[in-house]
Amino acid sequence: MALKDNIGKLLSSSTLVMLASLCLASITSADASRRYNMATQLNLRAEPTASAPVLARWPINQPMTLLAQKDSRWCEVAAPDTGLRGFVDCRFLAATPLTLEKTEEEALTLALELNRLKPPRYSGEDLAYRPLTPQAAQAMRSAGENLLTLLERRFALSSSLHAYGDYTQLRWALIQAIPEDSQDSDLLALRKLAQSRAGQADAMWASLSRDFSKGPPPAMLRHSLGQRMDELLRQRRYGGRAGDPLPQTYTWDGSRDTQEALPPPSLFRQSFWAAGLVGGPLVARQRGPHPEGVAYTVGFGEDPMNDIYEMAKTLGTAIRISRSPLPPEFQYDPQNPRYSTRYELQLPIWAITENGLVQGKLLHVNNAGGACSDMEGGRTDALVVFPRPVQGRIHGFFASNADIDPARAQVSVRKRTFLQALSDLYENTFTHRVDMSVDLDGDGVADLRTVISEDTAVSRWERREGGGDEGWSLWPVAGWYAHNLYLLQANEEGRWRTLSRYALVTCT
Amino acid sequence: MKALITTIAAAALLLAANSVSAQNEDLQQQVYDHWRGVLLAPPAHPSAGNPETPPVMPAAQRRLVLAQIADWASRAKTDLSGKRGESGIFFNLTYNLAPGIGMAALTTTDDYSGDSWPFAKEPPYYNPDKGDNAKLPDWFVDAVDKAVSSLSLPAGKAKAPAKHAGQATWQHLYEQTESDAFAWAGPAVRDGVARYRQAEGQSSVRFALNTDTTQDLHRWAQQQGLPVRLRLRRLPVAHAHSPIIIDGQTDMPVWLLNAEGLWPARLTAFSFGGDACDGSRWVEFTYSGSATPPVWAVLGFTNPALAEGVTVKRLPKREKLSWREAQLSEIAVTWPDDRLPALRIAARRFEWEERELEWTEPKSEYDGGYEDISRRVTGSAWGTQVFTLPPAGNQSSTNEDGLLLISGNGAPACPPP
Repeated sequence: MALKDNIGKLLSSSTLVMLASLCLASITSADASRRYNMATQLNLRAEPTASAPVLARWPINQPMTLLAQKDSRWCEVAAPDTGLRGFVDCRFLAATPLTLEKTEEEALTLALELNRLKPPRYSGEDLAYRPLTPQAAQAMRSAGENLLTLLERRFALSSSLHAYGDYTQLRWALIQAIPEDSQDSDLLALRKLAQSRAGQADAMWASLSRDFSKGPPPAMLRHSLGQRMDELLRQRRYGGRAGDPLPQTYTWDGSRDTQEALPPPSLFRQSFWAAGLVGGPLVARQRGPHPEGVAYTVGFGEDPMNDIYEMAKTLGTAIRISRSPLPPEFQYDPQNPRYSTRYELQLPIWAITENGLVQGKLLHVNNAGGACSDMEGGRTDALVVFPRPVQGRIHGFFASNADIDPARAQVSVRKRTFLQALSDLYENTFTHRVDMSVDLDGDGVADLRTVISEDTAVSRWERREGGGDEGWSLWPVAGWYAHNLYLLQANEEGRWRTLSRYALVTCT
Repeated sequence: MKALITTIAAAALLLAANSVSAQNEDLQQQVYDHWRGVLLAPPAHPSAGNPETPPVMPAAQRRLVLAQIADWASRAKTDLSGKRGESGIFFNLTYNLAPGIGMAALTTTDDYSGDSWPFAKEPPYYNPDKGDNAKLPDWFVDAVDKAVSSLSLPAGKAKAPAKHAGQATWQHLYEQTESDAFAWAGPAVRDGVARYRQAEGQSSVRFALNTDTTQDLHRWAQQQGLPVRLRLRRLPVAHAHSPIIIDGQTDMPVWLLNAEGLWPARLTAFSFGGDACDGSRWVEFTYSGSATPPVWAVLGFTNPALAEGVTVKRLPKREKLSWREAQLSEIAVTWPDDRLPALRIAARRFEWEERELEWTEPKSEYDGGYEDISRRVTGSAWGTQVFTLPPAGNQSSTNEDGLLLISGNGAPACPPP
C-alpha cells in the first residue's frame, strides 16, 4: 500500500506528468506508424506501381514504418532496421503482427463455414447433385478464396507438414467437390483458383527440407485443422476438454472400457512431449546389419511424420524430404498425383520392448504404397538402428525432448489370445493382443501405452487333388476381416494423445 | 469384422429407410434433421438456474419413432423364430429401431459425410472409434424395453415330440428343420472362460457362447412350452450406438457333457445382443452337487428319454497334429440302437508364435529377402467343435473325417461377468 501511495505522490508531480506525457506521445506516434506484413511474401518496389523494380521481398510479419499512403493501393514504407524505403501494397499491411493462433482461428471459422454451406451427404447428395443457391455459392467462393490465402499465411508462419497437408487437402477438397462442368460461375471460379495454386503447394513442399540445428526453428504446429475442427465439434456436442473421453461409446482401442479414468499428468506436460511410431503389421522383427550396428524395419499406417517433423524442430535436427511419383498404374487422378515420399533424418529415439527401453536412432521413413506393398518405389516403413541387437519385440519407438532414463522406466505387459467360435470349417479368426504400459519416470503413472492386436485365420487346409495333407493352420487375415490394431499413445497433460495408429490392414 | 457388420447394418438401414411409406419419408427426414441438430448443438452448460434438459422431439416425429420401434418388435419376433444366423436386428439401439436417429448419428460422426469437410481425415466407412452422441431420451429407451419385453414367451403347452420311423435328428448349424435334439459346443476348459458358483447343494456354471444360439433357444422353449423372460439391460447412458443387450431367464432342461459323461442341468439365464466385452453372449446352467467339471457341450432333447444310455468315449490321441495346432482332444458320444446319430467333439488349442526375421539376399524374384531365425510361443487359445454324421445327401460342410459340423465355440475376448 505504501509503495502505491508513493507512486501516486510521484505521479502527482506536474513535472513528471509532463515528462511522461511526452514519452507516451513519442511511443504512440512510433506505434501508430508501425505496420507488419501479412502476405506470405511482400514486394517492396521503387515506385508506387506494379511494374516498378522490386527492391526487396519481405517475409510475413516483416515490421516497417508507414511513411505515407499515396493512394488506396500504395503505401510508402521504410524498414526500421536497415532504413530501406520503398512502396508496398497497402492491403497487406496490418497494425499488429499476424499470430499463428489468430490465423488458425480465422481459418477454422472459414472451414466451418465451407462445411456448413456444403450439403450433407445424406441420400448421397453433394455439390454435383444438389446445387447451392447463388448466394450460398458466392459465400462458398468467398470463404474458399480466403481460406486458401489464410492457409498460405499459416504455412509461412509455421513451416510444417500439418500446414502443408492442410493446404493441399483444401485444394483437393475444392477441386473434388466442385464439378468440372458446374453451371455456377462462383463455384467454377473457386475450383479454378484451387487448381491454379499448385505452384504455391510445390513451393511449400520444397521448403520443408530444413536443418533445424541452424537458426531459430519455425513455430511448432502439432495439430491439423481437421483435428481442430473435430475438437471444436466435439466440444460443441459434449463440452469438456479436447481429448476427454466421450460420454459413452467405443473408446480408443475399439473395446468398450468406457469407464476408464483419465490418467493424472506425468512426464509429458508443459513443454515436454513425445512423437513416435507404432510397429506393424505383424511386427515380425526384420533385422539386418548396418554400419552403425543392427537395423530394423518397422511398417506403419497412418502418417505419424507430422509429429516427428515437429520433434525434429524441437530437437534441432536436420530433415531432408524427397518424393517421386508412384508408377503410372498407381496413379488414379491426374489432378491428385500420388507420390512415394522419403524422410531422412538422424533422430534419437527409444524403442519400446517388453524388456524395457532401448536407445537407437531413426534414420529414414518411407511413405509409399503401404506397409505391405512390394511395388517399385518402396514400402511404407521406417528404418531404425541400434548399436546391438534388441532383446524382445519392438512395439514402437518414440522421440522426446524430456530426459529419459531407461533405468527408471517400468514396462508392464498384458497379453490376451482369443478365438472366434470354430463354427466355420474353413476360416475362423484368432486374435493375439498385447497391451503395454510404460511409466518413464517411475512415478507410478503410465506415460505411454501401446496396443498390438493381430488377427490370423484358423483355416482348414484345402483338400488337395489326389488326397494328401489336410488339417488346421494359422494364416494372416486380410482385408475387411482383419481387425488388426497398432496403437501408440502418450499421456499428455493427463489425456491420451494418439502418436501413431495403424488399423485394419495386414500383409499376406 | 465389426466394420463389416456395421457396413451391412448401414446397408440394411438404407433399405429399411427406403421401405418407409412416402407419407413417412418427410417425417423420417425430419427425425434425421432433428437428431443431427441435437448432435451438433452447442453444449448446454448446466447450472442451478439453467438445468440440463434432455433433447425434445416434436410429437409427430416421436410418434413415427415409436411406430418404428413397434415395427422392430414385430420383425424381431419373426427373426427370433426364424432361420438361424446373425440377422443384425439386435445390432444396436438405433440402426434397426429408429433409422433417422441412427443415420444422423452416422453422418455426424463420419468425417467423410460432411462434418469435417473440407478437412476429412477418415476413409469413407463408418468408424465406430469416433463415437458420438447425445443421450437417447428416456421415452425412447422405455419403448425399446417394452418392445424387448414383448418378445418374452409365456408358459404354454409343449408340442408333441416328432415321431420318427427311424433315427432321431440333430439340429444343424445353418438349417432350419424340425429336429429332436440340439448340441452346442462348450468351452471344454475351465480357466478364464467359465465361472462356477456353489450354493446350497446347487452349482451353476456360466460361460461365453460366442455363436448366436438365441434363435435356437427361443424355438426350443416354444417347442417345450417353457416361459422365457426377456428384458433390455438398462445402460447408465444409452446413445445411438449402444448395443441392445438382452438378458433372459428361463428354466430349460439340458444335459452337460464332457469326457466323463452326461449330467442333467437346467438352462436358467442367458444374455445376447452385445458381445462378450459388453458383458453379453453367455449362458448359465444350474445343476446338483458341487463339482466344477469342464463343459464340452450342452445337449437338449425334445424327448428326455434320448438322454438315457449314452456312451461317452475318449478317442485315442492322433499321431500327428496339424501345423500350429498345439493340442487336440476328442470324444465320441454314441446312443444305444443308434437312436440319435453319434457325435464327435473336438477340443483344439492353437498357439500364437512370435517370429524374428533376418534380411537375406533374395535368391529369386519370389524370395521375400528374409529368413526366419527364431520362433517363440507367446499365446494360445482353444476352440471346440461338435460334429455328427451328415444326413443322407448332405455332404457339404464335412470335415476330413466326413463329419458334419453342427456347433462351434471359442475363447472369448472377455470372460463372462
